[in-house]
Amino acid sequence: MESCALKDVSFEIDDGMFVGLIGHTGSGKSTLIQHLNGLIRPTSGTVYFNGEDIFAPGYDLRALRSKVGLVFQYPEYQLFEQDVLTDVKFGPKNMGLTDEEAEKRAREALGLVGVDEKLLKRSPFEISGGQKRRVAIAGVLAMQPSLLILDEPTAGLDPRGRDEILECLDRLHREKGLTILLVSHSMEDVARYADRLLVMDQSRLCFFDTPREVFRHYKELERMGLSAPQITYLAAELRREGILVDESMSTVEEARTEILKLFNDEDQDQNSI
Amino acid sequence: MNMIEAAHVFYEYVQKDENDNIEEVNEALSDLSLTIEKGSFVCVLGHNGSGKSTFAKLLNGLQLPKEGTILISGMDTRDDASLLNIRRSCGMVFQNPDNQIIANVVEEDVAFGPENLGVPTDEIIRRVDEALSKVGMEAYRLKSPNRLSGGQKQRVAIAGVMAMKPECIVLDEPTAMLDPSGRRDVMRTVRELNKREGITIVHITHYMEEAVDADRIIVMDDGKIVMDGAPRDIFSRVDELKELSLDVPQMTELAYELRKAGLPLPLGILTREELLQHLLPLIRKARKERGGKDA
Amino acid sequence: MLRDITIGQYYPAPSPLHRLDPRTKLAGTMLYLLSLFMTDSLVGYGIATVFLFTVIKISRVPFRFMVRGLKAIMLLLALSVSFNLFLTPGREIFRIGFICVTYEGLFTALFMAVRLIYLVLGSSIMTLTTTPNALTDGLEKSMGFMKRFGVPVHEIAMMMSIALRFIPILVEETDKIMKAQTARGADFESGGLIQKAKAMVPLLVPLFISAFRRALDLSMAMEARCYHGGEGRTKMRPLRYGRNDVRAYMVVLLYFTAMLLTNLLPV
Repeated sequence: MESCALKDVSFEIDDGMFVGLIGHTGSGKSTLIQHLNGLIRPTSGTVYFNGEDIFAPGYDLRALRSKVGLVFQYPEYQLFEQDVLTDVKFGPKNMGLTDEEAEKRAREALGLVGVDEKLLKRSPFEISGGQKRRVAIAGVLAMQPSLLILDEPTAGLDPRGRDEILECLDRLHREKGLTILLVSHSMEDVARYADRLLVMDQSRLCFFDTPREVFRHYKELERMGLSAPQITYLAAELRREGILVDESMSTVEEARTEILKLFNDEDQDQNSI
Repeated sequence: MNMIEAAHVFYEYVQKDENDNIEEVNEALSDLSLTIEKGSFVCVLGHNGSGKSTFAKLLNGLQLPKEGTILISGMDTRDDASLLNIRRSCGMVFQNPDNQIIANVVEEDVAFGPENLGVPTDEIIRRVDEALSKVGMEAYRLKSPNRLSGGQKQRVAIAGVMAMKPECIVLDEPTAMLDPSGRRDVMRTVRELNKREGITIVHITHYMEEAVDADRIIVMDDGKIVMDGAPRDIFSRVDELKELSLDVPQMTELAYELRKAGLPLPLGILTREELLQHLLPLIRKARKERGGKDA
Repeated sequence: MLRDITIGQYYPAPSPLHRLDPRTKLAGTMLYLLSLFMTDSLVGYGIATVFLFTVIKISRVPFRFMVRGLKAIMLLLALSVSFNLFLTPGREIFRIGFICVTYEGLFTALFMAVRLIYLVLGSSIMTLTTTPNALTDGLEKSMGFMKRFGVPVHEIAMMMSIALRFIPILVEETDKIMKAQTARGADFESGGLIQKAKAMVPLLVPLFISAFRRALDLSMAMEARCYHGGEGRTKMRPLRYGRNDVRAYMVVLLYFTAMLLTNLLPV
């Protein structure tokens, strides 16, 4: 039986973007990201990385995989070495780096994701769930990719673990200029961090725009079994009541500013009188 | 009689090295006491390592307290003779949907509990029918569990518990590995079982939206109960929750922020409707005042 | 999709053979396999052929599914045929160098080939018409007497059934881990044998750990659902012999007796 997991999907991600990829389970998200580092070959069409066709004959896919880092769902399930540091060195060593260079990169990557120095010699199976997740992400970061793709990196974590990972990604994006593609189910999370959203539905790409623009189409999102952030609905309801707040507000922060504006304007008026 | 009574419960995990010497002792629960009434819907919140999963396992006799007692409908979990009865009346649903389905066909999995209890064949078939229809999975009766989505698997697991005719279901983060639609389906099912069948629900989660319409929320930290009350009370303590690195529903947080900025909104707003209900009059009043002054 | 992998090769169809009690099919297959070794005569093979193809017809399983099972024994078949063909002494038909083909050799080779093919076809019918679960149940029930000798029959059947459920999950997991490690630059393809074996470590360690974790979770879930061994367990669908089973037993016994009698015939 053949079925089409992706249909005519085209988009371009610029350097330094933080892109959120959302879609219902089975919408083709996972298939899409596996094309981007050459794990899956498209039936037709191709993928360009820095302007080069990655499926062209002779293109070095292994080298590509160090530049396009892919972190799978529940990445802690791939840990296997005796200690944390050695596990993170696996990627760099596969790239043919010397032991010293690999260790340098591993330590750096572990620092970036905030894994404590004390844990480096511990077994990756003895540390907590959130720590495991970060070690696994460091395992990909240590290859120093310029594009980092993460498939639901916060799945199954508690709010603390989730925030730690998201903050860390945000930092990597801002400070290291890393381009990030984040697959997520949480509209709230992508609204907070992403500056572009890719929305997939039934193997097709439906939207590729800023979160604000995408959430404006919350009715269409609902038809795809998705939903906009709660704040977007609040904005719609306020507008229905004739209160003209910015309809594209999507975070608590934005809503707070927007709503307070309604009152502060008045304050200013009062002051002026 | 209360569904669950826990009195001064202690539990610790002992980590041993290869020579059986004690390396580390972690206290998972310390001096925990609480009662849960029959028919109530209780949400247990807390981050990983707060002891909430350990608590769940104690309720089913999967683990036994080091000190203190746990009574399920008056039966002591340390009493071997009532163990099966405790597990029957207080069923459990776990986090990973794949790792709790035993059989290769949905109906056989639902029948697993009653089969273990030695229920007669005709009665098993009746119970399986009933349990599957209660969770809305009758259409999948003869399907392989491998073909189901995560949310559907969790509903099969719930049906498996329901077929044992329990009085209480303890759900240990049943939605943690599901997508939003699977999460919604599972929560709807659980809520219905509570409302229609009067099943006591102990729902462990870290998704705050799921706790909003519980009867009672228990917040755990470091093996202790740190908050216990109705959702409205708990969610009016936004700062404390944040201190415990727990989330607050977005509407609650927004209302809280607005209140801090000086708007006279009540504490413990949980839903969009509530926020609108309180916010709209304020905005209209402000407008009117401004309008009045303009005129 | 990997999810579709089924263990065994069950082919669902609405045939009376599918509906038979798995114990009947197990016993019938056993007798059939046995019967193939009890005759050397042409008449015997004739009866076996008629019996086999009638059963195949009744099963409503397309013949090409049956033949699939033969692929696995092609090499064995070729070997045994050539051994028998070239190495049986007797009346010579022709000779090329030291290789001599005899009448006896030709016959033995032919019989051997037919016997092997029938063996595979016979057991294929059973696996094609019985779900792995039913087969497990059937085995548990018919091996029940072994309990008296301390064989943990129920436990073995339970393990088989759980293995059936988890093999597709672990296969899928293997694929996932393999991809994840490939994304970290692991190479599972190139290199010599030792290098390939080494490359398996990043795959096998996580796989074992995952299997253990699942086993732990599952045992807890089973306990939570009141599992306490086979003692006092009932079944939702207990195995019961029906009228068709009795008929099937009679047909098989009749066939078996006929096969026995062929030995008395002068060849």
